[in-house]
Amino acid sequence: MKENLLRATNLLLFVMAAMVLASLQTSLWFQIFGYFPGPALWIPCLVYIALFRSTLEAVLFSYVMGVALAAMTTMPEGLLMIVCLALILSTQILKSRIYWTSSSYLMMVSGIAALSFHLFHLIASYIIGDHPLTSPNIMDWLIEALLTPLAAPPLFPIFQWFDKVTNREPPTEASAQVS
Amino acid sequence: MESPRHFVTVNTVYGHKGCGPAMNFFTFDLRKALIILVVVALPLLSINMKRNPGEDPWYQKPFGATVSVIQGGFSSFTSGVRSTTSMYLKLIGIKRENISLQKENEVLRANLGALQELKLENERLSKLLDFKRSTKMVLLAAKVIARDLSLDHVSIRINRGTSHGLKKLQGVITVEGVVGYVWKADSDSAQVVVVNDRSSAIDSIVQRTRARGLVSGKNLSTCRLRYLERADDVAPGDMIVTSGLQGYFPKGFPIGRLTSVRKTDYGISQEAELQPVVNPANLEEVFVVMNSGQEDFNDRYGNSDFGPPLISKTNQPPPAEVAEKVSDKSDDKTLKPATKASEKPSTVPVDSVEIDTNTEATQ
Repeated sequence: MKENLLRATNLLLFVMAAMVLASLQTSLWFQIFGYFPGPALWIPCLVYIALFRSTLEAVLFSYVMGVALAAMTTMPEGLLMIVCLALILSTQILKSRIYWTSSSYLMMVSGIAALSFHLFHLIASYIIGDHPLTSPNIMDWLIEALLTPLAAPPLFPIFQWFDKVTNREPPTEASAQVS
Repeated sequence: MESPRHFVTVNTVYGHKGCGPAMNFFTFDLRKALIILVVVALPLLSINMKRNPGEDPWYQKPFGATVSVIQGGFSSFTSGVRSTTSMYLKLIGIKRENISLQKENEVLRANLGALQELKLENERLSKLLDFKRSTKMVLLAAKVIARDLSLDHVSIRINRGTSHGLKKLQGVITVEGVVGYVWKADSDSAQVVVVNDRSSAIDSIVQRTRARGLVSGKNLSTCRLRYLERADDVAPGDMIVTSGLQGYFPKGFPIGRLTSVRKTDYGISQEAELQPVVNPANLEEVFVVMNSGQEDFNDRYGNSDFGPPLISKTNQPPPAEVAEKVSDKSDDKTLKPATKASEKPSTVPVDSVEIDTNTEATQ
């Protein structure tokens, strides 16, 4: 019972963190830098869950994230959930191929995920969306993908702390492991 | 031959000049005595000589010159030292003064920046107030607080929600033209889908020919006008305005200006691209149309001093040949009020306005 409560608290903490980070990205960055593309701050949160949780937990988290983040965009909820799901699964596939537990890995995967998010969105908008993305802003995507990894190192210890306070074993720094 | 020595010998016990352990007092050299006499007499002579007032004697001149050179040198040296010392002391003061002036300058610059920002805000709010006063519409002013999470969507969040009477699909405008409409309304904020978003759809008409179409977004700077009939007369430079049929917007309110028209070899419609008059990147304050009040802006363009400018300052004007083409047509008067409105000075104090985008803006 207590374990489930802690697990739910952990999930809630990560959802709250993702929402705070997304708000920072859409509001604070916007107030300062206007429409200049900024880092997708919520992506490291999603990537962390994809890397250090079971597939089932990660999928559940992607759905919750889809619902939570839909409040900040005109992207349809379903589309956002599918894109988050695709991100989670692709991250886990990448993890099964190459993996090392450190903040640099989180940085790398966050950058890839930031770009993948737009690619998945582009594909999904053509397959299931009502309004396909006909004029993608590739330069903005690239800037976002370059800026996002910079947010990962300061976020990594915070996420580790979330795990620690909810009695989860936080990932430790380890040597590279290629499988 | 040795010259005789002139010694006056009073006592010749020793008989030699000045030598011996006890020289006789009365034994002296005459030449020396003369020299002593002259030396002693010279100052006395000098004292008793009659001097011409204002003229130094000849023998003092070289000394005077030498003294003046030496004293001048010392004086220059001391004045140099004094001036260097005082300069150093002053530099310490100047440094302190410089630091304090720099601080003061920074404060003044910050104040100037704040004042300029206030001035611009005052101008913007005055413009909004002028607009609000001159219309029958019921408008609610709101402030833009955030943008869309995704780069591929164009939406904004405003600081007004259902607690302020907002409902889904209410139109959102600025003085320049249409911004979009309310997509989701929460209690204290609302998501507004901007006309540039590809999921937006606004019923519209070509102002010149009254041809109907549907405006939807393409990207941050371009929109599409779809479902135009193939036979419709549309040309680049035409102004696209709201039809007013949905009831969310007033009739004839500017959306954008056509930049290109594409007619395929087959099909029943033609598609055009337009540049919206409102640049979403520059939005700060907007109006939510609570009630359009059957306002028709088509009637107001020609005979009113006030009217939304048809070409936004933030957007580029159409090419010269397009502007000429438009001015030749019957609706060319639509450009006039825009010029007048932009020339009109903003005199309304912000404090007294009903425009309350948030507490900070009005205080």
